[in-house]
Amino acid sequence: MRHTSYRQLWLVLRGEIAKQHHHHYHSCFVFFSLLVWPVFGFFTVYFSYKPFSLAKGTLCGIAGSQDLMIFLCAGYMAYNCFWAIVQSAWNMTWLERQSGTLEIAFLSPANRLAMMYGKALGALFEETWMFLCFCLFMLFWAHGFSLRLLILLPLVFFVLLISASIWGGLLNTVFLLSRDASMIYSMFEDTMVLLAGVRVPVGSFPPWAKAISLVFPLTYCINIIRALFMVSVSVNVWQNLGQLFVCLLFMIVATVLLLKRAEAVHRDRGELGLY
Amino acid sequence: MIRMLAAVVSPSSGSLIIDGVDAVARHFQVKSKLNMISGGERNLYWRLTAVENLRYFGSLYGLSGPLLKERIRTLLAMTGLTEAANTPVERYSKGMKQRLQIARGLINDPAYLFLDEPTLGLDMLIAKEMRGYIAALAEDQDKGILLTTHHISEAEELCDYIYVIDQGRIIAKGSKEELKGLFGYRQSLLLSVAALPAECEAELNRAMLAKETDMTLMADRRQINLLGNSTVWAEAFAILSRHEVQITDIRNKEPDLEEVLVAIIKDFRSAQQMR
Repeated sequence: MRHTSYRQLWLVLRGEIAKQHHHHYHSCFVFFSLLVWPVFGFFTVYFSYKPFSLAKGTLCGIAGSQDLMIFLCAGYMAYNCFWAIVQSAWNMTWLERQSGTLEIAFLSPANRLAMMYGKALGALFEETWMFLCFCLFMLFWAHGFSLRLLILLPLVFFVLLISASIWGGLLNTVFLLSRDASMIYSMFEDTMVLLAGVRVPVGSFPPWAKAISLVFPLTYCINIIRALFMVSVSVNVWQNLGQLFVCLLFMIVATVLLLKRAEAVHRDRGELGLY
Repeated sequence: MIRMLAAVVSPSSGSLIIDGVDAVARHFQVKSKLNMISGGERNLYWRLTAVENLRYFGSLYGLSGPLLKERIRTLLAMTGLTEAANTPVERYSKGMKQRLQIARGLINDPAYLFLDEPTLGLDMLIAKEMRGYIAALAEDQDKGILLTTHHISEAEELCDYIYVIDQGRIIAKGSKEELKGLFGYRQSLLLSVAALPAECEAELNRAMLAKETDMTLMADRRQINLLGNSTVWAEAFAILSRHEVQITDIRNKEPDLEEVLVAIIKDFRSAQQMR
């Protein structure tokens, strides 16, 4: 049995996060993808809702334009974290295959799980902090400053950080398994926005769509955040936390199994350097 | 083959034992003792600096703190990259990238280093510089080095022991001298003389026969071609001197390793066709 100390795990995690940071911040244009495009996307949806009556929105806890702002902020804040991970997993896998660094990293005895989660965490910190700041500002603006909000925010970030990292670890592993997994990128782009309830309440979906939405951990994260910030939303936080925990546990098990499979396949076929 | 020996890819058959450890079944156990350097410009993060690259790859081997810092400093000094330590790799010349690859390959202080065409695509001067680094690694740092190359002169200059592989099979192995000795390829000495008296010729014939050395007279008996080595030739010089034969020219012809290897490969392929 291979033993890896916590110190070595931490070193690998830290190394991956630092590498992502140095790789990403090379020009000011990076702020467009960090802030400008997500904000455009957010306001596009917000102003698309504006001309319509929100009367029926009360069923989903949206009583007015301020509630709509909180509803969308919560959705976009969580979605931005999850989507950043999908993009990063795809970009980094492609880049690392092309540059040959993926194979060189696998030459080392570094813990593979730590490598996958390190890549996810690195992307999460790098790609979301600006938009998260924007969403926080909007939340305070719409919700008003309160002690309750200040206390809840660290909890929200903790849930988002853990969930998105585990999701990212799984995606990194899937992209590791196959260089042709790009369909996942396309598959999640719109599917996740729609079915996880980023723009539209999941409660308004037909039963089959509601069933699919349960697959995404993003759905539970959004539900939890909305329940915490929108008093009128009737969502059971603990139930969603429980469901999220089961979903994440399943993803961790899947990541471990797929990672073993991916390394076995690459040791057999030597495809880590192919792109 | 290099990737197999570096425990990245599993062999389709046979075994790989490194320091008594089964490197196929327990590849993680041997990874910290190995590293691999490939020719070309891949295997590095171009947007990162040399220090950032080395810090990342060091972290994968569980290195950190003053130990990693000192090793990075030593490796950069050894490869002459100290001044460019904080320059992004994308601004490096080919030779600098290759030198950084060497530094990366030594980051874990491996006992065994696998070099896959390390001078691929480099110009003559840089290739010579690289060969100097490689020779120093073996001589000064006592590294076990296995190098693959298509440049026979490179193998001749650097390798103590050579394996000739064709179509995935080892068809000849040995030191340079042993390989040159195959197929009757030996050193020869061509002596030009003013005149060769009959009694001197007879004595030379007897002496060379006793030493089982081929002697050929050419150019109207004014040129003597002797195979063998310096011991045999010293005796020939003594005989010529006793008979006061005037030597007008001396040419030592070293057998060309490339010619030897071409002959070996041709012989192997024709034997394959005969089957």
